[in-house]
Amino acid sequence: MKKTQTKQISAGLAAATCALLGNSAQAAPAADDGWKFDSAVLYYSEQDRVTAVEPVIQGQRTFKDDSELKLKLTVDSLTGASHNGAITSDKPQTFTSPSGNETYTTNPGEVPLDDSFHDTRTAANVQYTRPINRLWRWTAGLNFSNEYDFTSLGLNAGVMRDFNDKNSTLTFALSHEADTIDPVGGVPVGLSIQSDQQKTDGSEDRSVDDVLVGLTQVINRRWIMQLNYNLSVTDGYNTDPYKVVTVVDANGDPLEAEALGGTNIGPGDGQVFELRPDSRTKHALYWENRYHFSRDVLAVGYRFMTDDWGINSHTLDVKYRIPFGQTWYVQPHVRWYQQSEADFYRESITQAELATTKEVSADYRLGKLTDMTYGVKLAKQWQSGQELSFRVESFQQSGDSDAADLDAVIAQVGYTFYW
Amino acid sequence: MIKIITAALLLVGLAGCQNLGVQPWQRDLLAQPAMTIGEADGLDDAFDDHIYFSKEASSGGRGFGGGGCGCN
Repeated sequence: MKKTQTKQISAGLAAATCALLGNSAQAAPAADDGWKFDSAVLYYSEQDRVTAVEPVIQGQRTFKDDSELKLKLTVDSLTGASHNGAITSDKPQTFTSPSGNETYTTNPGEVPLDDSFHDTRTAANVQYTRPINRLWRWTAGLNFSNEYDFTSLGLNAGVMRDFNDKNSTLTFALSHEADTIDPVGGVPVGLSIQSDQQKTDGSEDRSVDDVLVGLTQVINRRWIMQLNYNLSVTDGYNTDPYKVVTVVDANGDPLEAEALGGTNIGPGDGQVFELRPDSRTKHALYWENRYHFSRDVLAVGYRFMTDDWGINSHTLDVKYRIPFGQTWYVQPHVRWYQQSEADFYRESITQAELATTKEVSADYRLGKLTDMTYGVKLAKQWQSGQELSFRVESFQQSGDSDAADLDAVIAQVGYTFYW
Repeated sequence: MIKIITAALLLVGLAGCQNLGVQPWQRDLLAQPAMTIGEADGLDDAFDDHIYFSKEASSGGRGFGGGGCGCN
């Protein structure tokens, strides 16, 4: 009796575990039907802030031996203004530009933005995957990314193992990334007064090491799931060299740099460079489900992330694909995101707090946030495998500070073809 | 100890998964591109990961959540 109970419990536990775990045994692409190219241009525009245009081309080929090569090239062009970290005050505030050569003033009531923000990022990715035998595959990849003040080089490698008639696939992968940050005007001394321009020459480094363990599981003819666990450890320079924190008086008004023993460059110049911890450990659990209703397909993704900076976040992403007229589909998309604030996040600090604090950032992206994205994608497919698609989405952020209130439009045109 | 428990749970999980799944001839729906995790939405996932990585404090999960951008 006891034995039977134990068996039942373990069977129940196994079923529950499977219910939690993800998918697998994906459809294998047809071998050697030439190169498949995915191309797209993304337009991303924030109201009053950053605008980005990002063309991407990705080539993918599956060879006769079932090995697969994927090459991707991305160019990302950014212009516009970015929040510099300071509070929104009813007093004017004065800042130095990133280079340190100029000053600018924010009017009362305005979110302080640094409008010297412009950048072009180029990124290249190569990924090669090859079967070892009927059940095992290995994969390895290289990533390179460069912008005028930032360079990143990454390597990854992993193995995949199929189980249960290819209804389950386990993935284990590692990645290492080496970043070099070379800020315009030098690396600011954290917590020093911005107007003093205490900076060191040269660059800073950061490494990012990741482990990913994933299970993909076919549940039934209509339902496939994936569950991933991702550990990510960042070590090195995590600070944003262009962001400041406002030092305020008892009324919450910005102090003057002179009052802090700093250089006077104008009203409300009591601003210090932010400083973040030099390491960060993140844990992310990701669970994706795809369900086929014979015509429509529902995709639901959920991610929980927690880190040692005190941030916890939840992300829910839902897409519903509705085919129509034989060759078209429309796909509404909703994304909800919520995060708690980092332990060292402050909208502003007092002089007394500044004297004792070790780390502080007023970057709204480390504060409390609730984000919503609504969008729709429309696509036309051809027998030859070509696809033309359009995507338009509205992205809204909100949080505790005025800087966190952001509206953006995401628009994308994509074209897939075979060569 | 935690490692052993995790490994044991994974094994139990995999054993349980034996009851799930389909036969090769039942893969008609699963074989459609819209059902392929990581590929179904083409380049959209990578675009989204990049946008939200630069606007939020979270990344990773779907794949590696490294840096790869300065993202001011």
